[in-house]
Amino acid sequence: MSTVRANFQVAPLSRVLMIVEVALPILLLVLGIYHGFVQTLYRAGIIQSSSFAGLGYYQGLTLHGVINAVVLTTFFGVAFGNAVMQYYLRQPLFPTVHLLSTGLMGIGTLIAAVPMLLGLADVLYTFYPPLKAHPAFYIGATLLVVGSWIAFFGWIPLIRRWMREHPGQPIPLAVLGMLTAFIIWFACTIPLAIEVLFMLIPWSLGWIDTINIPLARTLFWFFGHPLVYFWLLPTYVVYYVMLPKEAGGKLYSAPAARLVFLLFLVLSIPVGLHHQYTEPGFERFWKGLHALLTFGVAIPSFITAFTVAASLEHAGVQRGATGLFGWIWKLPWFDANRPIVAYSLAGLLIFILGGLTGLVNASYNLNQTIHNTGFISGHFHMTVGGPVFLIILGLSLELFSQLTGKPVRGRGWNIAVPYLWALGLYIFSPAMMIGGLLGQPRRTNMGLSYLDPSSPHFRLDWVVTSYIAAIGGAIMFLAFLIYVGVWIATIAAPAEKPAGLLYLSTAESLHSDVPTTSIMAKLRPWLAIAVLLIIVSYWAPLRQAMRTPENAPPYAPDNPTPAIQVKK
Amino acid sequence: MERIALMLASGLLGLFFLALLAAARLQGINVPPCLPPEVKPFSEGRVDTLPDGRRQVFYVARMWRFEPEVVEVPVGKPIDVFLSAADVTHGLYVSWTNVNLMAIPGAVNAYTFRLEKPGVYPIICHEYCGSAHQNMVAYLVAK
Ligand code: HEM
Ligand SMILES: [Cu+2]
Ligand SMILES: [Cu+2]
Repeated sequence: MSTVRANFQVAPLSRVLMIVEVALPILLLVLGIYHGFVQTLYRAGIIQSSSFAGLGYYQGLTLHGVINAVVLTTFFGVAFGNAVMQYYLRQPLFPTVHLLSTGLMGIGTLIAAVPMLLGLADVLYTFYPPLKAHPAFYIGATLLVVGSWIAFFGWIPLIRRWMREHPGQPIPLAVLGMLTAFIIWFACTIPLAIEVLFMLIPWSLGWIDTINIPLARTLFWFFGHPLVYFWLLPTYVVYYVMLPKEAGGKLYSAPAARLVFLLFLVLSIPVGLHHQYTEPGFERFWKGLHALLTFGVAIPSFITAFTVAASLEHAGVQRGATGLFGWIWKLPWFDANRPIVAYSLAGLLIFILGGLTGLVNASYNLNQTIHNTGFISGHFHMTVGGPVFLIILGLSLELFSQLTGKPVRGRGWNIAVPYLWALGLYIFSPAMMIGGLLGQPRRTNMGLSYLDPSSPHFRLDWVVTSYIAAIGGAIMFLAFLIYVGVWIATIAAPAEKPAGLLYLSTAESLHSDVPTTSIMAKLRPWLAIAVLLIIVSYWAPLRQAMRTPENAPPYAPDNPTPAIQVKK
Repeated sequence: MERIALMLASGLLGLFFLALLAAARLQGINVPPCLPPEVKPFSEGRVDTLPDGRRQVFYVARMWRFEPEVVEVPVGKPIDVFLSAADVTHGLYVSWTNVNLMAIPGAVNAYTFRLEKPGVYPIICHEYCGSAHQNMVAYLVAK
């Protein structure tokens, strides 16, 4: 992997489609992030109302979750995957496949957006039945997912061809990372598809009266935890492949990076029951097994922490650092021409707390104190809202700049964004987490009850943390506004380079890469273990969920009587 | 180097896991159990006192209240809670305790605990259950 790589010229159609893939979610984010900030105001009792500026609290929260955590991450996964495949495999994408995939994703997003904006889908981004949304919500989401599958299917022949033409070489690390991300995504969206296609859509259309709720939830979380690795792995690819180079060094160990991706493949799916510790109907043994496996899937993240730190240390030493911690100060934290470094380092600082609090959530009985409290939202804003979000912001702008040939304008402002975001987050998230430990529920418009001094349910002990969370939220909102300003300045600037020249900086490995004969250069054995673990860990819980004595009819979120007449 | 780091990380995680198993076994801090499928969901809340004086509370969670709403319980004595959802999914979280349960339509949840200090404990619905979710509160009075 030591060859210096040239730019890759993206074909005209793919260029336009990729611009849509990065720009559309950023546009939607304006609404998504705005409502994040407004949520902190409701939750502090600064807004005491069921809606504000035309959006209901739960309507806006649905948009916040769907846009930020589903639309943005899926579009970016596909856009970055498209960039990685073209750049490292040095082949163009299939134009029709690309058009179909991006088209379905875009149309699906629009179809799902309509009921959300009309207030016909106030079911939050987890859409737990028996709350029911308008069928268009589920159908749009399905098209979005299918579009992302098609992008993935289109990469497989390119990878195969590269392998045929490069015998004796392991596939490029970035390709392996994106491939594992999408294998995980494809595998885990199958249970989701079963829930949505065979349960929710027919039920929301009134074709079936009732569905099995524990089963639907189990299928959802079968998908829901691997989903977070689909969010995380593109970020890890950037940390392993681009960051060490941009920081001025090498990747400490490519074999360790490969091992990390393969371990995620094996361990990221059989862990979903850790979202259901507090639910009835599963024997404790299975909850415990999922807890154990969840601890297992923490190992690749520990290796990542180690490898990334070692790579950064190497970079610092290359830059003349001495002493045990001297390398930290030698890194180009504030180099406006290396925004990836700023976006990565700020994300890594956030991830320290995000990762550790994740272990708390995973800890079986410890989860009893924090499940569904503000602790959980505090935690995941330091993962998906931290490193993942910052890498998405940083790279979306970079890709947009390369695809249009327009240089990024406001470079100094650009690198201020991640640090300001990290500052806001280090205020917002701990406040949410301490609030959670004091018992604040998540997913709650607290301004109408707990944070309203005239309500009988007023909780004085929750006031301080809710206000601090709002201050943190305001700083994060400000960081995002600056980011939008950088985008606008960049769009307004004239192109200075030919459009569509892709360039991804690529670090060499300090330790030599694995030989192709090694088990770490193969995929099949790992896939086999993954399938085995999934069967072992999910067979019994799914059967236990299927034993549920009663099914449930659908409900609209604002009406306590069922949306259909159930024949008894 | 990589190997040492890997072993250290795995060892630490193993230790954590043992600690939480120990807490489950020795201190009895556990997740809710699985009731046999014969236990059918119920639609009326009630409070029972067993012959030996043990208090059992049967909560029904519905949009947007708990039934029964205010319950008196003895300080320091074991209390069994059973929880059923009458319509959509709800949550039941007794403030300042480990009592944290999901109310899932179709299945019955259960937990046993003690309140060691006298006082009023708000019970919060902590799963979104529709437009008036934020008003869904009940109280336990420990005397
Ligand atoms: C200005 C920045 C942001 C602020 C102030 C903010 C604030 C919040 C708050 C207060 C909640 C909890 C609401 C409740 O449970 O009642 C929340 C939920 C959530 N946020 Fe954010 N957020 C921000 C950005 C983000 C970003 C960048 C992401 C992801 C990339 C994100 C993902 C989520 C998700 C998935 C939820 C859970 C929604 C649910 O429970 O249904 N947020 N946010
Ligand atoms: Cu999870
Ligand atoms: Cu509720």
